[in-house]
Amino acid sequence: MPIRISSNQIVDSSLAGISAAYARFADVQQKVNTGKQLQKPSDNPTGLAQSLDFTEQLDELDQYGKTLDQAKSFIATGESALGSVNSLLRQARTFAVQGASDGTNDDARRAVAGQIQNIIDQLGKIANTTYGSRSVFAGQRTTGPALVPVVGGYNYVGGTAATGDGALKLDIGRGETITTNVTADQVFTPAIAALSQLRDNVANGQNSAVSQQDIAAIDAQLNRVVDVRADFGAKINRIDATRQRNELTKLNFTKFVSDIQDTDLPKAVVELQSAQTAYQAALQSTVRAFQTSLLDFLK
Amino acid sequence: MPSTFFGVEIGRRALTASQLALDVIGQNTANVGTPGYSRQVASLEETEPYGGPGTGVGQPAQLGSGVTVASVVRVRDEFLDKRINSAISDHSSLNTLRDILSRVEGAYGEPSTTGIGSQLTAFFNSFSDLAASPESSAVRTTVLNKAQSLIAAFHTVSAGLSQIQPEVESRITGQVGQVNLLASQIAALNKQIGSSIQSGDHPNDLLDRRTALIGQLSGLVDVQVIDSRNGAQSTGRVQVNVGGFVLVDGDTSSVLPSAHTTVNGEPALLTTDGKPIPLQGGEIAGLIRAGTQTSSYQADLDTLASNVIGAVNSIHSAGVGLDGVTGRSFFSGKSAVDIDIAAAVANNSDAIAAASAPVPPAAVAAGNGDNARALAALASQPVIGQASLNQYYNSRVATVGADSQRVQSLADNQAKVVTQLQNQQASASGVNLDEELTKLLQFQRSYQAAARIINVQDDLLNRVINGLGVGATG
Repeated sequence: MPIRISSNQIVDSSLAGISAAYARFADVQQKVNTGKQLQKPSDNPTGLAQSLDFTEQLDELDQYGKTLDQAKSFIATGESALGSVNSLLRQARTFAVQGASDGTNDDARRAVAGQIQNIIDQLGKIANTTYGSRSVFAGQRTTGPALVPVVGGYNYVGGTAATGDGALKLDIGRGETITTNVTADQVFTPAIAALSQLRDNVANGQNSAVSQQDIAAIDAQLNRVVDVRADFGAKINRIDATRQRNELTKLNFTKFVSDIQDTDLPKAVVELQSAQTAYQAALQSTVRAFQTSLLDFLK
Repeated sequence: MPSTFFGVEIGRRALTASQLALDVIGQNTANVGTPGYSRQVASLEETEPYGGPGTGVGQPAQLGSGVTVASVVRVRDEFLDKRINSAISDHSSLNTLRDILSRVEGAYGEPSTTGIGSQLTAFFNSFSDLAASPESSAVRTTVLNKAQSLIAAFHTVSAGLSQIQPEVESRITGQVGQVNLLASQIAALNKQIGSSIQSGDHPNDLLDRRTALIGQLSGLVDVQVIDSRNGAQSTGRVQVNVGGFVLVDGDTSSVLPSAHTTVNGEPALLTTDGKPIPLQGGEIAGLIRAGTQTSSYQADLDTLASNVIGAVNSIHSAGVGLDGVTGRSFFSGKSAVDIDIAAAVANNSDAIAAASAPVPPAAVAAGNGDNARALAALASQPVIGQASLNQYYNSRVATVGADSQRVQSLADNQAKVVTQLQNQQASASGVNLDEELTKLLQFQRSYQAAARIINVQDDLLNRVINGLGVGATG
């Protein structure tokens, strides 16, 4: 016996067919319109967890990117200040050679000593270089100057390694810390001390002391500055390398998140087309189903 | 010998039967769109033949005496009804759970850039900014703003979840009331149907109504329907049980309690004397399950919030603010509902402990951001078991998504089962207009033919009564 079909069954299945086809059409259309195939957690729970993880790591990398920029500018500020220190020390060395020569008279020596004092004062100013409003060479005591002038020289008032407030540290990656500063008591104070010695010896005509000790002391300070600059340069290189590595990782993560969250447009458009066709077919078959009835043939 | 008017009587019976059959067709056609209507069939039967044993002397056989409508019965598969009801219960439970879980998903609002996950990352990132400029009051204010956003995200999700619970409770109470209303209606119908069947009737339309009511009841709770019998004879009444609780027995109904609990993770209602009535299906079971699930999501969210509070506070209180004060908490509160910025910090951004404790007797250095670095690093450190705060949150959201996805697909499958069973029932008991129209033609013709038979008999009788013997008297 053939299956008996009641009139309501045709109505019900037509309605079910139309609404299912329409729901699928609406679903695909939303994916195309929003460009997102992951609208809510239940669309793809595993994918959601992964994409959230990666999104957060992307945010983290962006943040490290900001920190890297900060660290680089801060180090670069210090580095360029140390560049000036370097050339000032070279000038002082020239004066030392000049002051130590036996042919120089008293007036000229005093003039040279004045020039050296000038250099000392400039070093005192450079030691108080700021990045924005932050003192670069004052350790963690960034809100005040590094050196303050006192009678007969300069006093260091910044933080020191000994009191635990010398190093300015930033995290440029997970567990990766970089020190971005050098304190003035490490570079400026000994340089100023050496120059003061030189100034006094030049002024007093202690030529042999100048030529035997002071020039060597200045050379030692020059070497120290060069060492710190080399360290800063290496740090800047490290920062740039980290940046590049991060950018690559970000590119991969971004692609991964996009693969999970974003709609594959060409595919979705084809799906949209087929959903539309299915919807039209459902509508058409409904019309056909109710077109004929025995009533048409009864008189 | 049959009587003179025997043939007329056969015709009359045929007319009556055809007319009744046409009425049944009319009823079927009229109810083609009525939900729950079972098509009815007039079952025709030959009437008692003329001439019993020994009376038919000189006759070739017993003479047929015509037709009668023995009964009008509804076409319905009662066993299929039971399967449909149980399928409806399962579907309704899953569907309710699906709706509420999809609201839970909505409460989390992931994936987004404003959810708890993103706010948590932004909050820890602000500490990384603070580490780079701990003396900046602008950066300190930003940290407070990010903390405010994180707190707002916790409050929003928590409020979204906690709204669900009271709504579930009031819906359970409402639907239990509906169950009791349906039960009393079924009991009333039982009474009518019982007395109708006792007097030999077929109360088709009352049976349809009772089937429909039991169907509605199945949507709310899973029921067991037992036909009441008197010996081998069905009384027409049904007994309706819910998990062993007798809801309807004959003409009386009991009141289902609305107090509820879970027994071994399965939903149950509680009678006044504390006995559990286990529920497997139906909207009420779905609501109780949804309530339990939502509470566990809420508990997870509170776990996250309390860990955020605890982990941040323990590092923060070890650090020192710009004002040199140490030992202050950053957050106050214990859960997702009451998490807030501690009052001492909220009104004074200098209180944010960006610095690590100085070596005495040195005062705190403004540029010390070491504690801020430690707080920023918390973002990627294991806090809850092996999971970082963000990882824990992500896994919770994924769990909500997976639960919701599972229930969605179960509900979709169950909907297909219900549709398929209903189709089977409709295939037996639904009205087909073409079929009714065909029968309409059949009985129209049979009515016409019966009328013709009476007409011919009338002609014959006319001949006998008016034609015979006219010549003799006249």
